[in-house]
Amino acid sequence: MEERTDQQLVKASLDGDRAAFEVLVHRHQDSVFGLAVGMTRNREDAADMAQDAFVRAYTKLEQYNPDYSFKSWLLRICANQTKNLFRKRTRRRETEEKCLKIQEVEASAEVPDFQALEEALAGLAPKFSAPVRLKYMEGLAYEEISRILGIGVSAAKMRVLRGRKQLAEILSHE
Amino acid sequence: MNSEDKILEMLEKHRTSAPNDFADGVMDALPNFRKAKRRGWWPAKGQWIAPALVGAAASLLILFLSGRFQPSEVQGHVGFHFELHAPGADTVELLGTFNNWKMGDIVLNGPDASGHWTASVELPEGRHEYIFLVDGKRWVADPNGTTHRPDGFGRVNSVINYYEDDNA
Repeated sequence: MEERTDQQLVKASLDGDRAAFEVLVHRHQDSVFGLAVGMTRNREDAADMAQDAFVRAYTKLEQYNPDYSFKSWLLRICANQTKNLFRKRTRRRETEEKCLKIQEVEASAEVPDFQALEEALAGLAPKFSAPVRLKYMEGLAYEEISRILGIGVSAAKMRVLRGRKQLAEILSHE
Repeated sequence: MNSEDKILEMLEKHRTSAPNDFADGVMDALPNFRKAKRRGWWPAKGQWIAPALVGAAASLLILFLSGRFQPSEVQGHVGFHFELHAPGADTVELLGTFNNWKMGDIVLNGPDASGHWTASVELPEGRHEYIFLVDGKRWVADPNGTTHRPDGFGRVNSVINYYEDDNA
């Protein structure tokens, strides 16, 4: 059977088909979680943020415009949720301790080289890690990245470039 | 591993996997209100459009025949104040659905001492999308706008929904 598109699944979800939304969750969970990890550098926070993003997307599904990419819409929600989390924490003056804490990245079941890469990504500053992930792991254009993260296109390019260099530097020391 | 190209190649092949039980957690956390399709006398999503249009057309016809109809250019216009902080800019323009996205049509005044550009525009009732164009090359969504929408060309438009009933 032909795989249903995101737009078809959204339509089915709007008609009350919960299983259709579950397919969307499975399809995009790694992308959303990856962005959240990139922004928080903390897997627990990332899981919370990614989950919140999906729940929020579900409750706001009527607002999604099917002419555009569902994944980008979802990633944008996730980026906004995560930024809001940071803002709230900043208000409580806990941000730096919590967000700059680099958590031990859980052992991956993938080939060992990816473990080193994952650790290097965790070592990148969030402002570089998220754009690098979106650019190379999600294959998004700079315009899309700038929209998702709420930064300018040139800032997105600059952050990807600097993130790449930092990543190479971290990996060269291993 | 040291080569940047190789790193990029690895990045492109790699995914950070969500935890195993992630999807289950999401599904458990979803609210139940969309569990079943609504069935009742009220039309379901999308199915109200045709009857609503017929109703609206009938109402307009009645108003028109009774001589109480006034064209929209006479009623329902409200002045909107647009403002953008762009201290280093040479020009700031406003383009939107209300001027057919025409460049050079609405040029904002400014900058003032604090770098703000402003314009006041009379808009009719309805939904309007717009964007600022800075120095003829940089597209900027209104940072003061509450609603934004991707335009499908890589930019984000701001949205004004102005309906008299909402402001009564």
